[in-house]
Amino acid sequence: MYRSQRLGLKYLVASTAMFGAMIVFGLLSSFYYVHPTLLLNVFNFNSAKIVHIDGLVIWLLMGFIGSIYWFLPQELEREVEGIGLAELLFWVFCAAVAVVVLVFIFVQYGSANERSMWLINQGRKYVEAPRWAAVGITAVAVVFAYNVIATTLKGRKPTGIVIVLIADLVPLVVLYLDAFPEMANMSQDLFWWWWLVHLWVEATWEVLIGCIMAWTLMHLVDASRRVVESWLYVEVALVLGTGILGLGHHYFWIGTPRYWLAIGGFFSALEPLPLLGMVVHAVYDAGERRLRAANRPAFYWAMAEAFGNFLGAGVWGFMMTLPQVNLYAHGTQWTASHGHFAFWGAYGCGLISVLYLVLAKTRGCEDLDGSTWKWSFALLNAGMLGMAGALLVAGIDQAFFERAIGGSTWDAFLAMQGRPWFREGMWARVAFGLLFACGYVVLVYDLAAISKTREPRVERATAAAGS
Amino acid sequence: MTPAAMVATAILLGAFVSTAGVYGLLYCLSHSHERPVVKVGRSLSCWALCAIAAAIVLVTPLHPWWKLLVAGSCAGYLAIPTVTWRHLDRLHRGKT
Repeated sequence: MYRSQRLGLKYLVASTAMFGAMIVFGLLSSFYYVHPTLLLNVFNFNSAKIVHIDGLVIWLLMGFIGSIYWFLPQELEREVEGIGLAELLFWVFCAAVAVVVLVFIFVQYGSANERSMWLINQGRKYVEAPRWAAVGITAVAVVFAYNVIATTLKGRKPTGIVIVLIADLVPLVVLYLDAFPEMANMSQDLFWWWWLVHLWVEATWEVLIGCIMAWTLMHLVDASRRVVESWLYVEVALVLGTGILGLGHHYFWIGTPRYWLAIGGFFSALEPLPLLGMVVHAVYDAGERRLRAANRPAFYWAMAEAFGNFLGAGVWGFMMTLPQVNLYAHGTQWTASHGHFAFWGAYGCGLISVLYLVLAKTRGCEDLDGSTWKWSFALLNAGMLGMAGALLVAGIDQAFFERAIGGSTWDAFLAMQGRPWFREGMWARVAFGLLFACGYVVLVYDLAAISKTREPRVERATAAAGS
Repeated sequence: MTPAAMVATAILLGAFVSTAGVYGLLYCLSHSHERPVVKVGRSLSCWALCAIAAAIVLVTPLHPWWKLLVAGSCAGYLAIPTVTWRHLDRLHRGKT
């Protein structure tokens, strides 16, 4: 095994741990909606929500980085350049994440000054990590991009997947710099902040997971490189073509020019089209394999990625993306429903597929199956579907009464909290959140059991050579 | 747009894309399964997709440009499974 692959494994383990932390703080956040006085003056809702959402960003980012460190040396048939620096930065990254989480839990907030921005909270939604940590994340991203680019340049044959990956890493790093400027004008600030949030999630991350899933399919079902690469080009073109200007669907209520709403609505309404193509591709592959693959968990999670992406991003997104609906649905629990489902479908399922694939390859057990993974698969997906459904009911109720009828006033907001459909939706979200958490526990148990019962491939080979 | 029309429109839009997904799925299954029920389901989902698109165009208070977009998307959803399937077939046949 290459050093880079060992580093990839470490990233994937850290990513799985962050997935757990994200669930814990997500559950805690959901309890505040049904018990608003929970932990009053001890730990506020905003801090719990920050750790939940930043935890999501970090677990996915660590998962992407880990997957690429694992696949890259096999793809280029050589060790990753600058691997020592990458290994060092892994520990720096983990330490920084731990310190930031502890600060969010125990310090929570500070005065509105430079010191708070550098040491406690940067104050920008989804990129709240204090500035020192944001600088650290930039360093990790730059070194990661260097690793990929330098290894490709030193290698003899850059493949299509690696070229797409490199083209994606540049905007990935550059867009993160958007987390730094301090703008006094709120409209300007939000205008540029969405470039970071939207273009990371609906452009650069889509390409990253596209590359990762291309490698996954090649390793998992022995898919032909020609098929995978040509399909990757088509999908990336379609996803970027519709996703980039879909940016405008966030520009509500922040003072941007009106034309952005039409641009955003138009392009994001086209987004489900390539997602349907992905579903057709998934069913085609499943039909070719007759739903049989040696590594069944990885195969089923890869299938779940295509369907989850279509449902969460496509169906849930299209429901609310046209300006006449988005005007009222924007920022309600309806959006939260779409966000939960879309992230899960587009990224979560894909990364779990990679976890099983990498585990099987590392432990030399290609024929993974059993019943435990089926339980985690069912619990996690049922939990997510239930959460998305519950939030959708609450969100539609909110858009209808609080926004459209109540005119989005403070009184309408307060009255909304007591409405039966909203309250029941929040309770249902807690219940399905617990189900989802059970699925996570079973997933970790299954991954740990596979790791313990099977010897690592390297050790077996060494033992065989010794005897 | 009234509050009730907003909710009805959103539900129709969601149903529109969901039905497109069902049609795509049944289109693929009809290629691998010869069962008549799958073919009937495929035809039904195709008609349901057109009917929902028609309802969005005729009943909802969306601006005509958005209605045109929905009608165009309907054509796209009907074409994508066929085009993608053929493209994949061609790729897989020539992969060696």
